Amino acid sequence: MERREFFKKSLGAGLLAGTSLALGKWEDVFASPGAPLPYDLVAVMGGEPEIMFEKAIQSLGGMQAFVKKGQKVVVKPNIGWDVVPELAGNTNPKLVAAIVKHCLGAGAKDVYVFDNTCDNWVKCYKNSGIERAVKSAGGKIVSGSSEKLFQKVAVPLGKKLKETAIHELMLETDVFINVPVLKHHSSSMITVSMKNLMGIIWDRGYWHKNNLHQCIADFATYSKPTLNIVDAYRVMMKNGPRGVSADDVRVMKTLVISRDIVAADAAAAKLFGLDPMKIPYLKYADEMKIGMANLEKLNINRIKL
Amino acid sequence: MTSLIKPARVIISLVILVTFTYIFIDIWSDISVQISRYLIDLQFIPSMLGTFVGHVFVLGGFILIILLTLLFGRVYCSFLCPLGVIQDILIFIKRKLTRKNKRNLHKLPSLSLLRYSVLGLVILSLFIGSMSLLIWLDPYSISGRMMSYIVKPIIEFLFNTGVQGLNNLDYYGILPVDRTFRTHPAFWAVIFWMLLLTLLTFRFARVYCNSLCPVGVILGMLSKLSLYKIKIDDTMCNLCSHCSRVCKAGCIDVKKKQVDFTRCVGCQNCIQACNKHAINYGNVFHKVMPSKEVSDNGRRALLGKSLGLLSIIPASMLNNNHIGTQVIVRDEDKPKRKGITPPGSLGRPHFTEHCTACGLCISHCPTHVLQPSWTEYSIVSMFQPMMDFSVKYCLYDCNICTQVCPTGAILPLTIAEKKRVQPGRSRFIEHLCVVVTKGTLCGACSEHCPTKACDMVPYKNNLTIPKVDNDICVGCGACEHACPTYPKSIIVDENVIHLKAFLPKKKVLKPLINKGKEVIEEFPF
Repeated sequence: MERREFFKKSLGAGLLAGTSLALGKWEDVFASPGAPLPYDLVAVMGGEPEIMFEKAIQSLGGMQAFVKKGQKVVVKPNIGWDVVPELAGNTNPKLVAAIVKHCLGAGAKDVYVFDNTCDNWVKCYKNSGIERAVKSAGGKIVSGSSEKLFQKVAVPLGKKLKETAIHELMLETDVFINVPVLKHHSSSMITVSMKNLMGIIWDRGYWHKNNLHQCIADFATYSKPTLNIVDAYRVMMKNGPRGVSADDVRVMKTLVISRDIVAADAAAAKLFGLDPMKIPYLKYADEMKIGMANLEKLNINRIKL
Repeated sequence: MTSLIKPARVIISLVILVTFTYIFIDIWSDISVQISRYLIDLQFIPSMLGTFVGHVFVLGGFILIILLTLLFGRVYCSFLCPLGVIQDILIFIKRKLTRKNKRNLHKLPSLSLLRYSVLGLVILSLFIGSMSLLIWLDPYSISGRMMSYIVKPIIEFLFNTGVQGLNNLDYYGILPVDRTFRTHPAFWAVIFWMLLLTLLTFRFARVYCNSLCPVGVILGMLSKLSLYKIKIDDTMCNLCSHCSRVCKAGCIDVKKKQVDFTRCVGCQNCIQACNKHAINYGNVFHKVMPSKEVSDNGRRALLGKSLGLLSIIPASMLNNNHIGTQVIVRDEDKPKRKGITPPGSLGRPHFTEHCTACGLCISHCPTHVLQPSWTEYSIVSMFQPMMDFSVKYCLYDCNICTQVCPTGAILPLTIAEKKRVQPGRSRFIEHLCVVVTKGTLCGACSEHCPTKACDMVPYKNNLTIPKVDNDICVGCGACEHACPTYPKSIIVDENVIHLKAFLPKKKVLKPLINKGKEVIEEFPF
């Protein structure tokens, strides 16, 4: 029944994937059509969040390479905690605003922003500065904290995770831009793009109970962001993911963009000072061929400002 | 002049009811938080409790009310009391619904024995440190609970439905709100009490105010002595009994042409109803008024009585236990919890002895971790709020409950002070933890911990496992809420008396690569 509902919704929303779902090519749900990109990964260092993003997206051919006129976009930052931007618990609001503007500039019909937060979502949206940033940039901030907004989907390639409930916006939009913040994390060592996907699902407890790292990797077989934009402007080096004080934060002024979620996370892990293969979910994801964790095999554009 | 009093009453009482409703149903907890203290100070019981608990003396509202009563009678009951106004509205509705010739309100027996016994019992219960009777009988708290348990959820539902409608029209400028409503036995108890009061009001008008309401009885005693009173002019009255038909308190004895001032709620209906203009409202020294005179003795008696009233406040309430003076008692035997009291309440004894369960903190708690208790504390403490970690947890950077509590059950705390309060402490139960039972990483508890009192430490097979440092635990319940196991493998034990937490330890980060500069200069890939 839920599966059928899912099909109906997907078709109803006019997803390109509607037909391919029936054929089993569900991986392409979010893969945006378009020419191959000039780089597999772009890393920028030394600027303000919005400037770094501008440089990075330009080198990939601008936002219009990812967002077509009239498309609906969902931007998913990390808004998990009731903390101010200086504490680096959430994605930098300036970066989120810049992304929203670029999407609208590329002709997006609507840009939605949400997260299923950990702390009280009203406070998180407000104190992270993201609610205000999104509204002033012309985006639409949406609640992600009510079970009725979530719909069950199957994860056919999952080893541990076979189904999970995801936010309805994920099914109704054409482009998915994942905007994690790089942080230390007490459960997953670091949280970046793949871990950030836990904010689009409802029941995180199930993941925690059933081999968290495997579930994180499993879900990445289902959810394929059009772009992963890693905010490493301020990086919480310890006491993550919530952070205790500003002493946990190091200013890195760095940004990583990649379509490959595993590559983005591997680069972020290196920035953090960790070997990507030491992080279980990245290792699983690499083994499951979700993406490329070996950065040496990638065409990387490194920009210093 | 006197003909203006009734319209004035209607307007003032409605303004009071609207503002009172606003501070309870404000879905954004916005301005209402700042003004609630001042408005609630016009309520007798919370103002008195707040003042004598000693921390939230605002305007001395209860003194004002006593003075007003000594001057004008029980105007509190008709002008300021939200429950009184609600009853008046019900009576108004009932009158509109009934045919004209059947609209008579009844003359009620004075129920003296009942009301003085009730007052006596309330005072007695306060002396033994129990709020039980006041919780059920204080008109402010009764109306507060109606607002926070019933009206606010309705408003939230309507608001969210409206927002949903706007979203469907592709407008996302307004976000919905988190709904307060939880199905809970306390909710049904409030519904029951509300229905009972409605029935009583429909049948006997303001009978509640003159039988069960402790404030009504106290003010009734005072209003016997008030300076301005209703007077029936013997010469003009033709015994038509129009006045007694509209009297909400049923306190006019037409045959004797007397008013029982202990029961008169000062609604002024009788003045308007009298065709002969035989009823006046005026100074007791001003002619007529054959009955009692206020003599010097009377005034002395009054002074004595007022002082007597103050003695209602039990001695325990005068203890000002400041947070800062709490001693750190690290008892090895952890108590099972009954209910974890909110920060600022000093502990279960202080809280249960001072909270009248008006529900204002429940209304404003952004995470809704504050929920009405049922029998957790004890059956006599029903409705008094407790932290329910199955709903959510207490936010580290929030002190709103300490800002709104009018009775001093939850004392005001700054955010910095609140972060040092430990209403409970978490305990890790290793053998239930996912890391042990399934051999996989979890760490949900540590993720949510705002102080990292719950941290992950190395365990076998490259795993990490939670370890709790109770020195810095703030008992917020985030770990318990987030824990995915059933039964929970990390739980919060109650500190019956709240303790003081140490601040989280600070460890400065080692500077990165080049010259301690806080910027990395090369890509590590």
